[in-house]
Amino acid sequence: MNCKSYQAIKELYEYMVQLNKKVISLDDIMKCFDCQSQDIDSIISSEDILFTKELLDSDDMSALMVDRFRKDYAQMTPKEIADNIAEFMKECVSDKEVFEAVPDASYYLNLFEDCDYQFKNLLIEYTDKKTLYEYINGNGKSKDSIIEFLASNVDINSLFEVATSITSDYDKTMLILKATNDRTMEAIEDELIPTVELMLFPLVSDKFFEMQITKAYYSNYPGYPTPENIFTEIEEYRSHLEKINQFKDDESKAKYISKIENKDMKEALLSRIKDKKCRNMVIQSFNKHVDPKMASLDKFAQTAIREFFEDTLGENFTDDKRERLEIVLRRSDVLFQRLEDENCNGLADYVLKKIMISSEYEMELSEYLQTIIHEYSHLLSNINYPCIRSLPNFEIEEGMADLFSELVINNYLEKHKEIEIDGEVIKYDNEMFISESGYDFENAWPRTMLAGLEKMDKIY
Amino acid sequence: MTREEIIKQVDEKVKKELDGKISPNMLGYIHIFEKRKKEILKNEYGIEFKTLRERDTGRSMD
Repeated sequence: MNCKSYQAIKELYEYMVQLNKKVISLDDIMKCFDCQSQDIDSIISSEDILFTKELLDSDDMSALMVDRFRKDYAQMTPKEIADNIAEFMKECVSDKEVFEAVPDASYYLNLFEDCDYQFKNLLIEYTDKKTLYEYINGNGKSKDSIIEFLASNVDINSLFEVATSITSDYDKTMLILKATNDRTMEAIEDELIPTVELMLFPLVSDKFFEMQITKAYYSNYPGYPTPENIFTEIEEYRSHLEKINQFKDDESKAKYISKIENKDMKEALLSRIKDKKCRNMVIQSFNKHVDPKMASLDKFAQTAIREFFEDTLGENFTDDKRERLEIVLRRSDVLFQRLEDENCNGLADYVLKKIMISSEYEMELSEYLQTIIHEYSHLLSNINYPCIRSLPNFEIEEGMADLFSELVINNYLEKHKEIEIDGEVIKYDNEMFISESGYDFENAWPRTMLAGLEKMDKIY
Repeated sequence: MTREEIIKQVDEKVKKELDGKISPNMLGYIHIFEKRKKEILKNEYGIEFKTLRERDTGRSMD
């Protein structure tokens, strides 16, 4: 049954129901069809007239319609079915029975993106959830458009169901990002952020996608990428993934990844390489922007931090730890500028992976050194922040960062006797550095804990 | 006075209070500053103020 004959039959049926004249003869049905249109003969067949009579005699018009469509579709080729459905959709016929009988939902879901909002809503309603998710997970033609629609239109709780039912990290990420994008700030703050934080975010496992969701979460802050940039980067990452999957050996992958400029992509793609040498090639390829005024200090801080870990961890400084340290040191930008808040002296951005040192006050070289190592400590302890989104306890974190700067500097002093940066020697009372900061209370925590462990001989 | 004017005035008050006690170029100054600012805004003006520590900014200040 094509669209025109369906419309003619349905119109007649509804008219008769309205008049409460369901019991009529075949002749009367034919006369009624003749009144509808002059070329009704080209639309309605004798079989259709019999079917109309059957419909009028029946108590369940819908079931009969579905049955009739099913029989028709059984005789048609896939292309004929697709063309037939397309005709219904073009004429904006959205009755449930038309779609219920379709042997494969992809015939109409493939046309989803061309529909208006109401039609889309009905198509989602008509398609059972299992079929819908199979279509998405099977990379159906309108998958992206369906995800976008679901992200904007299903209620917050249903988002969780959708996110758990779709399999690819990319699709989950797009769902989460678009859900955030299309809702009002009030809705985001009241409902979506807790939902994303608690329920949706852990469902994504690819490091880069996690980072993008985190960036989007903070996109209102200055310096963070706009939602448009986040989506562009996701597409770029996908194309890198496709290319990398074509390489068979780690060396080819490493050569390719080394050339990627985006540091978050590079870091995430490192997981695709197992060979140690090749991983190292990628890690060596990180570059960072360091303000010229901070260049020597940063170089020294990096050396002192490396030496500290080598010297204190010894054989416990395993390859995986070394890699994580190198990634932080080699990729974190170090900027020297006026900060947004004049009371802030140094800042470690866990998401964008950068250190910012305030140019507001002129500081001693030793103070800059303490600050830069303190901020590196924050970046090291929050290395996985974009992927776990869990902030450490403030007191422990700040106390540890102060203690870390003290340990790193003192380890260096113990070995090299003095610190010289750009020809300037940093002098410390008693040849030992004791951190000076406003973190007296915070400093008490890690020192108390470590002192206890030291007494028990549990400091390794 | 508008909220912004009150906050500006309290900023100046806190700066004076801390002057000589802790140097503004010392790490951690911002948190001591904000803690005191929150107290004054709440106690003297009934204004709720969220410090950096209380806001999730994805970054560590100082």
